[in-house]
Amino acid sequence: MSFVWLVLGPDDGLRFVDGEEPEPPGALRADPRAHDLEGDPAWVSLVLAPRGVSIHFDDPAVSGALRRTLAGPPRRLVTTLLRDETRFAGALVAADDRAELRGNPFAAIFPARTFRVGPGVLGSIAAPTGPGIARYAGGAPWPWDRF
Amino acid sequence: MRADLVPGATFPDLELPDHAGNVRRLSDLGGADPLVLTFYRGWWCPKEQAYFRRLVAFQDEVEVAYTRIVSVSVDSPEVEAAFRAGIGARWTFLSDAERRYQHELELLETTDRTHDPYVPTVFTLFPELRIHRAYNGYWFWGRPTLEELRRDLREITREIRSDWEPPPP
Repeated sequence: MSFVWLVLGPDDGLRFVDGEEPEPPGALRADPRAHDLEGDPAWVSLVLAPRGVSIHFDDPAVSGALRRTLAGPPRRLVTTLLRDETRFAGALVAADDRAELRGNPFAAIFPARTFRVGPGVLGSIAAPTGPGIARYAGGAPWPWDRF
Repeated sequence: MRADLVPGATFPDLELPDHAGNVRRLSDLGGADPLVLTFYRGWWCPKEQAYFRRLVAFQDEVEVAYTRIVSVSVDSPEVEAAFRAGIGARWTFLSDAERRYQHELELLETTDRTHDPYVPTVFTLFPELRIHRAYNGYWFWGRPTLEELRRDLREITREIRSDWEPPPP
């Protein structure tokens, strides 16, 4: 499975649904490693496109943010968020320390907000090897790195 | 270089801290993609600075070609992170500051007793770390040119991607 559904609830609630399940209303695609029922609490920088707005994943603004992500300090978790197979709708960056979220490259594309998430929600993703920024399959959110 | 590090052999699955200090396995870093693995002396070597400028230019192609790069030296993670940031590299650097694999791989540069660095060496690898080619870069001209890397990566990709020839209409 190359993605999970991320459902954004009220009060910054994050809920994940298996990517094999039907698409929940308003859900976005995320790297499946983002979700971990045994994950530690985390600080989150959530970048989201305004309602009704999305851009192509291969837009140079997104490519530039991916490059800056690879060049910058590794975070506990980074996943792009996709509206569908081709449309970029935001990104979720998580860290153990709030200070590590400064300079989130995706915040240059859409508005970002920072909040705390409790245990059992977010996992961690080893930093991508680099320098790849291409996606591995239709609908797979970067940094998922296999076909 | 160890005599068995030849085309067709499997490269040892190194386990070392990356430039951020997180322990990584080479097989995980390579995944199911072609991998360019470079051993370099250190940030201080002008030959390395020249060669890495080439690789940094090359990453603009590699980034869209489902191919990965990993570089290994005896510098500490902090020094590697600074070098990586300074040259603008966007791939993973591994630190063998304890020289854990230098002797095992027989890649100790014996003519530099000041730094005890790795002998500059470049491998192109298939997934599962099968060696495609090895380049002895002790002399600068022994290192693969970007054209040679492109050739190697084309050969590896052609072999591992079952859809190299596009499906017929």
